[in-house]
Amino acid sequence: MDRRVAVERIGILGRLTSAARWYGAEWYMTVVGGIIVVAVLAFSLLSAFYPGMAPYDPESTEGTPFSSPSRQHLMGTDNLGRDIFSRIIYGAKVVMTVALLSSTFSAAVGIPLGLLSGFLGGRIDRVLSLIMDSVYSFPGLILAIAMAAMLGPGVINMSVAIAVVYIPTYFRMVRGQVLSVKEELYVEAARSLGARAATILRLYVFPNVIPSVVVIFSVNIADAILTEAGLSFLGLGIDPSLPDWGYDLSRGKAYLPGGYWWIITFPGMMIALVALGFSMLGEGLNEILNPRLTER
Amino acid sequence: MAETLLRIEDLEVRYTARAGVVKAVDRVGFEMERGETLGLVGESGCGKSTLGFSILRLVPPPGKIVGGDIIFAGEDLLEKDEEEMRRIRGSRISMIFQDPMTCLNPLQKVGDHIVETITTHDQGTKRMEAWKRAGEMLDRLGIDPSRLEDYPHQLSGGMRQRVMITLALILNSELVIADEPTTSLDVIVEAQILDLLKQLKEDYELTLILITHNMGIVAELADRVAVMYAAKLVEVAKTIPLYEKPMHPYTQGLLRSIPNISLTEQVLATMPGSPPDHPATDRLPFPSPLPPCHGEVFRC
Repeated sequence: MDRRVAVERIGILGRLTSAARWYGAEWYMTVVGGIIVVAVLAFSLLSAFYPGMAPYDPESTEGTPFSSPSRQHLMGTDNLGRDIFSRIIYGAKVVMTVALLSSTFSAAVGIPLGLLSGFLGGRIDRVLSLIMDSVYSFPGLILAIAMAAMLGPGVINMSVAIAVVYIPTYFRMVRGQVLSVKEELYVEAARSLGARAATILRLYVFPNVIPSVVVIFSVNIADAILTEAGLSFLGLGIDPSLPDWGYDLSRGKAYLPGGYWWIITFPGMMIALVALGFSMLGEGLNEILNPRLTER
Repeated sequence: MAETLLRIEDLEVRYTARAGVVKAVDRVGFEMERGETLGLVGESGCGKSTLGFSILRLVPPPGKIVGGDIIFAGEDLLEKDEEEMRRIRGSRISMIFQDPMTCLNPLQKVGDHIVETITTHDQGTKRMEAWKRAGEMLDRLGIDPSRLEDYPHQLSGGMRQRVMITLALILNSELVIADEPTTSLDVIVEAQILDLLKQLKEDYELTLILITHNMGIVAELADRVAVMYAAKLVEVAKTIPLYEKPMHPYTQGLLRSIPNISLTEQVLATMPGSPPDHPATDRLPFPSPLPPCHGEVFRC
């Protein structure tokens, strides 16, 4: 009885609340992931518009170099005496910008190409698939390194470099989904009622493909954060004076043997936490948005 | 004599597979008058659905219409280009499918399906107007117009089939092809849908091709029956004479194999053999079409 009532609810909110009742674990996962994601997003937005948010200026010397975590410096200071806690707060901006930009880039390229390729088939499909598969077969980080080295430093360039790596993920996912949705009877029925090919693509195929894309998107963001950290770690990232978790991590590595664990630990934890948050959100959304799971 | 709406001549549809060519429809021809209901019967795989699809020119690949003519209202459909064909589908010829559960887009409201069909073919129609029209049509078919706001999974199978019928009828199609419209429904809903079709037939003077393997449905609805066997039409006749005096041995077998509660025999008659993969080469338990001058409609 409960289930029926839940099905009757319309709208995203209703769907989410009814899903909460059905999928305990996934629901908590989504909520926890969502809280992490929203918190980091809030940090990055706030630090962009409200400079006084962090206790110290993240780019200038604010204390004795290498001071361990204390009440003055919650996470200690680095080799130049900059406050790590402030750098982490400001670093969220760069990380989130790169992650969101690159995921949006690759989705914006990969989804339309996948739709066309799967829907049209034939020669276009074969050529596009060949290109995408060759990009896909490249080790991701190496390709990103090559792209980043070619494009040079900067937030946009780094986003593009990362985006290239993930385009085939969207492409393959969307294409596969289109191939199966295309054979559904409701597409056949629409065709028999005289619907245009563009209409079928827009109203019948695309909406039925989207749920899986949403999931890839959030998993992709988690991946992009790690790749961004990797690129910065290798010195292919952005301007070194800007606070950035990946860059701080790579610089802190040099001081780890001296016992200064806090320089490397906190940025690393943040990267892991945010990547985890996005993955959890993505996995949870998968369970909730998948119509096959919600209908029954 | 009423006017001829559909004339099919020597239609041939082939599926080309790696293993060889399958003739799914082999030199089939028949005529239909406006307002007539033709029951197209035969066992699974004999080509009746392919025949239905080929009238809309929607034979799924690798199937291909390789010969013949489909004359609809005086025009040869096989000579139309894709865009002209698209305009005919849904507005002049439409189709009702076997499985209403999967025929509607799960992410679109019922009303949007209907509105979309209206506006696709008649671009002058305003959305609100189309929505209203959809509601009136649903109402006539026995579904509350408020259901337009529902998504397909919120409807029962019978309701979904009514929605499919609405979609087929909303633009006053001259020819409706119903491909086993009640196969996936239970008997009670089946009876309701059949009653509905019967009534609509009278109200709208529908020309209906009823594809089914259920002889009972045919007896109830059809004016004439075409029996298809191994890609060929083996017998075409008016319904009552066909039931009283089937000519072709396959038709006789079909009629014998209807379960009958008054019979005392425990064993139901069955058909020998199964549909051939390659009608041209496989040996069949029944002969090809009746020799000329046997069936009533096989013009001599």
